[in-house]
Amino acid sequence: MMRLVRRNVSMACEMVGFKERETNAITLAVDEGCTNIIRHCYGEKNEGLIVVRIHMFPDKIVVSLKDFGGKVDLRKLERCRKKKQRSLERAGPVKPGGLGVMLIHNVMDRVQYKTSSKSGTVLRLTKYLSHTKEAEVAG
Amino acid sequence: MQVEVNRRGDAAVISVSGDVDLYTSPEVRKAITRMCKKKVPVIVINLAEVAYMDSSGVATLVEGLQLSGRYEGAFRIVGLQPAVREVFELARLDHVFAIFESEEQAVGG
Repeated sequence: MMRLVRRNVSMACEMVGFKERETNAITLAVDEGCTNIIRHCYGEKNEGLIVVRIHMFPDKIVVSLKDFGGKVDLRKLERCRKKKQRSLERAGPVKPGGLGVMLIHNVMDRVQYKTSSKSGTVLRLTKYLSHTKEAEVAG
Repeated sequence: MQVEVNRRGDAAVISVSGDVDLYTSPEVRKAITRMCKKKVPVIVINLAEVAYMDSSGVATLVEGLQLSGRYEGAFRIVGLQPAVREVFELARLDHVFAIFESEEQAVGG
């Protein structure tokens, strides 16, 4: 299943115009998003629905991942990410946990969560083409 | 994905082929853990046949590094393809591992 998602995201990135290195990174970020859902939302049963939507624009790609696993504790998630980032920046002891969320944030330009206890969570990942991002900064 | 373990003197070379992700990384973990339990002095992970690795794979290698560190064993990586090297760089862990260009070098240290 993950291979199928990776292949489609990779194809979409190429169609938008991302270079190979960025395409690989975006594909990884989406994979990490799916992995986190499988691991943390669907738990030991390891089964559940993930709706993957890929939106292609002239200047960006937006991938949304919707799960139905209940409400995510966003504050806890952010705390873990910051802790991981700080630990790596200080070259502290390396621990295996929390790498996925950190990778997502390092790769994507925007990471948005919309969560509710009734309908689950939507993770929306946005990446702009490098030249358009540079143009925005210059403008 | 396939995992093969070959002993070369003091070293154990764990050769992995295929994608390493959430579903396949437990196999790699199992092989690494087995070698660490035996306190093999040098563990070499050959990733020449791995075109894709996600954070579960990287985390597995971090665990291997820690487990071998407990008995002062060496944990070395060889054969990183560009896409996999990028994952290490994105995770800012490329400086944490001893990365070698060839298996000979990695085994010899």
